[in-house]
Amino acid sequence: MASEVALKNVDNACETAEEFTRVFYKQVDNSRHLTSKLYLDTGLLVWNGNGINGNDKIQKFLMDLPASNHVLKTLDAQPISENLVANKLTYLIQACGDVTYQNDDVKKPFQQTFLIVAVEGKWKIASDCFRLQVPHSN
Amino acid sequence: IGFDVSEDVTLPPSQQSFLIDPAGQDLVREFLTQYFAIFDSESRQPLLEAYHETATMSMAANYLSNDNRNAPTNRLNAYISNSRNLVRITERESRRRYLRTGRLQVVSFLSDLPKTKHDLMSFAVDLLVFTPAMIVLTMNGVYKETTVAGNPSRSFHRTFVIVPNSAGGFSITNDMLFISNTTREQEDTSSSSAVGVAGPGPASAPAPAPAP
Repeated sequence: MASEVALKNVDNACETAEEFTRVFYKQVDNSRHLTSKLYLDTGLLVWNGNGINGNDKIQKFLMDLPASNHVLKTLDAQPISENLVANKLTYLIQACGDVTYQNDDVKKPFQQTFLIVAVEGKWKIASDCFRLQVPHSN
Repeated sequence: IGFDVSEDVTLPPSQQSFLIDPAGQDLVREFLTQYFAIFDSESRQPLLEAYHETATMSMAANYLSNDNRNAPTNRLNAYISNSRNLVRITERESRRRYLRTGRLQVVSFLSDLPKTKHDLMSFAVDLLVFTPAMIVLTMNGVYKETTVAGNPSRSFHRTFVIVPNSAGGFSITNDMLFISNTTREQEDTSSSSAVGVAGPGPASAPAPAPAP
């Protein structure tokens, strides 16, 4: 049986995921110049297999992407055992939906996984893995 | 006279894989090969060895938007009824219940999912964290359901959090899975590749504990 503390942490992971994704997609779609503040200084963005390290570089990368509109359709979240991550509260979040880009009005299905960490009272993205749902084969 | 706004905004080309540390490549390949050999076999029970005692697992499924294909094979009923989509599941009690906790619950849940054949060559694998204490990797790819008429293909996105265990191997502590229909583009690619459905995977499960 999971302890009450563990169950509360599950509730909190879910509610944090809702709040986090609301903020994140609003920033990316409407105020992208501020988005990198959501990442740790040493954060990692992996965008369709392109790895970008550090929030300065992430900011530059994001600014070069076409304007976007994300619609969240599916969301899931789990706590990650705290002793794994230097005793920092850490959540795994999976967000899926459709994105349209400025140059192309076609809705593209996307899936995105975040590891977020509580640092000094703020949630920060430690890693962010974004994938459009496209074929991969070599 | 026009305006100086960039009109030709293209997306950066995508890459099949990202590795935060190239040293992780062999371990990841080995782990996934063993994991999916068992996952695609007759019995998923040996996956008990791949999960941490207190592992958590959740699955969420959803349809593609604007998908007007209405064949029975496109229905995701086998998944949707257990889908932990927080956009729809808003009660705390349900959210707790849909999170499978402990390796027995996790493997029991996985065992009830449709039988599958994954095409590992079609995977995009991103290794996000690779430290002595913790590995985080995501997979994107397609699989076929092997025991359902028409062998429908599905698209998935999945994340494993993995830690070293005391036996010298590795255990999954978090498993998060998203399932959807394949796009037409994905179907065209997978049907043109040489890898088809060659029966339900290897019958004899390989050594269960994925070791380095």
